[in-house]
Amino acid sequence: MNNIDTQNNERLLPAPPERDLPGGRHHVLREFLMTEFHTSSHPEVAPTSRPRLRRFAFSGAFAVVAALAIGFGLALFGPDGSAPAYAITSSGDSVKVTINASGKGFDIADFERDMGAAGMPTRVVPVDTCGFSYADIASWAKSRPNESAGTDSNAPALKVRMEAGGSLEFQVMRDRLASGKTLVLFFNSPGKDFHLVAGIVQGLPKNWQPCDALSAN
Amino acid sequence: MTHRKYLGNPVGSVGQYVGVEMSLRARILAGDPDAFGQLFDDHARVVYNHAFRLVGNWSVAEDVMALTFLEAWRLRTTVELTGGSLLAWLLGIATNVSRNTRRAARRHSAALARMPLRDAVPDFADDLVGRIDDVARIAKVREALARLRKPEQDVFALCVWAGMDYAAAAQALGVPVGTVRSRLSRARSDAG
Repeated sequence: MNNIDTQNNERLLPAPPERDLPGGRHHVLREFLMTEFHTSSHPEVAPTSRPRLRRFAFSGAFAVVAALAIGFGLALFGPDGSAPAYAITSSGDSVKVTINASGKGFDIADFERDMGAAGMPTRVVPVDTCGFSYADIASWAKSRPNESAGTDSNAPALKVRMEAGGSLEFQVMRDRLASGKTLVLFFNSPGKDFHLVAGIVQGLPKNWQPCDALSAN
Repeated sequence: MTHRKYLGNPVGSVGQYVGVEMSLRARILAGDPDAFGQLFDDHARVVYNHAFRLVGNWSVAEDVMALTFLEAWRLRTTVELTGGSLLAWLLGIATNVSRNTRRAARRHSAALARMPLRDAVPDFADDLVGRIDDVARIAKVREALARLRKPEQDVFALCVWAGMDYAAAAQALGVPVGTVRSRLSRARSDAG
């Protein structure tokens, strides 16, 4: 709708200007709602009875930095084979990854291999396949130990940016990562239009499997 | 009047935990109360004013706003993982709550009983006068708006007063974009 249409409509039936909530009510209602959210339990949406997640505690391996992006559809190649699902550019200490929002056919193994070849070891966690709910991931994320292996929060090792249209771009600064760290990306619905749910850079123990991502060992 | 456009802000829809970040939508789906706190901070004012335009009473609008967030919490699993701002989703809920306030109030009666009471006297006399003027103004406008069918009123409130584009209004109401366009066109001709 263009502005002229909007203005014409508004001239017909003008509404009063917007107002804030009366003094103090925003805070009062926020506190009230937060208490309700924390204490309420709706059976129809209650989390499943999955075993409570143990605290993430890989031996001596803690997150360096994390990243994430919001949902986007991505693909290895577009339907006509012309549009790559992702592009990886390695330059100096930077690994830049651009993921396109259109198409289907993202291949996890190819993506992990290409990222490794670019100098940024990466593992993908297929959220659906592993049976993780978003509540699982949120619970795990909240329970992360408050250690960041000396990461300078003002200079994050991993930057994520969403482009208009849903494409995703993220950049890993290798010089800000301790050696032996791996980029772990949580996706849902692998093989279809799937979406990045969360991400983290961390050390992984031997024999780590993607579906171990939320478990202690 | 300033025209607002809520076209989504995907970059802002990211939340951070210790060492991990998740999308706001994923956190909403996860039932993270803090994500709803962020949602409240971002959109409570818009929901409040949208509700006032629909119900014509500031006190009821405040109740509708609170009910909207309680309903949003109840309906959190219906949020899609992809997308930008959740404002359209909230305004859709607010519209439904405004139309069926009693039903929503029944559903959340226990919570409403715990809701802190409002002060009898507002902080500022000027604000009180302004709010009384608002009620008088919106009453006249709603009288004219009553000539329209309910679906057209809803589209008008979202597109014209809340400044949403066709796509966002369609998302809020759960109807095709073409339906929004035609309803708004009818609203304009009928209101004129």
